[in-house]
Amino acid sequence: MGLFDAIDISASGLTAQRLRMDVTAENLANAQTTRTPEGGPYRRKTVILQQAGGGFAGQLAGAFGPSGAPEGVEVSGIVPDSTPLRRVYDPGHPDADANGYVTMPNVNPVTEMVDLIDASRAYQANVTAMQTTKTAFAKTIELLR
Amino acid sequence: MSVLDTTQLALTRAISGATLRGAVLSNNIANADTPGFQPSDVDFHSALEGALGEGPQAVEGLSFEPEQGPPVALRADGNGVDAEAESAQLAENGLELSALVQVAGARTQILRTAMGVTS
Repeated sequence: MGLFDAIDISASGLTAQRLRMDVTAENLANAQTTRTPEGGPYRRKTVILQQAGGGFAGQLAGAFGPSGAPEGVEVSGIVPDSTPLRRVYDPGHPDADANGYVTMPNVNPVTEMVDLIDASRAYQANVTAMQTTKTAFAKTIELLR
Repeated sequence: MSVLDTTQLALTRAISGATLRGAVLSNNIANADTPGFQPSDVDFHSALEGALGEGPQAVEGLSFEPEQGPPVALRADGNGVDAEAESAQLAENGLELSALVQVAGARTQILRTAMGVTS
């Protein structure tokens, strides 16, 4: 348990929320993308978060004593959303099938905007937490004077 | 016999308790979007109160552990973090830590004066 644990924890929150914002921005940017390197239209991506310390090191530390020291949050993975892709009638589109339908990404801009606001608010909460901790620690360090 | 009296020992333990609590509350805020996460807290006030009743030895050897409250699910994904409540508690804890540090500092200053340390 170090003095700056709380700041590191808030930083892990900032990293995770920033990645969520990055992925949301990618989803929005690719809302109309019908061609990807893997073939087919773009699929919406979501970020899976998990509590940090669940890995091998955390389990090992837990086996030797009471685990409970918080370690923040980490990104477990970025997974594609498996909801069905949208079908749009647009016979003039180069990627239209024989019936004139184009398969479009399963990105809903409204959902993405809500996710973006959520991630941005969570980011701010972590910034505030970090500032509070920093102010308190600055006072502690003044004890040395 | 330590040079520090029980009050100073208690202040030191309270500072370490408040520091741990700050880390635990920050962890709750960082995990506000983690599915299934349940918030923890450190009740160092009660632990300290109990130890003060037992005597200086108990205070000196006091350590704190984060504890999970009864499970609450505020959202469909099983997450139980109330970000606003956690932020408020963290702000409160920060002020308390600053106050504790100031009191401990003032008491140390008195001790230094008594020892004849100048500056």
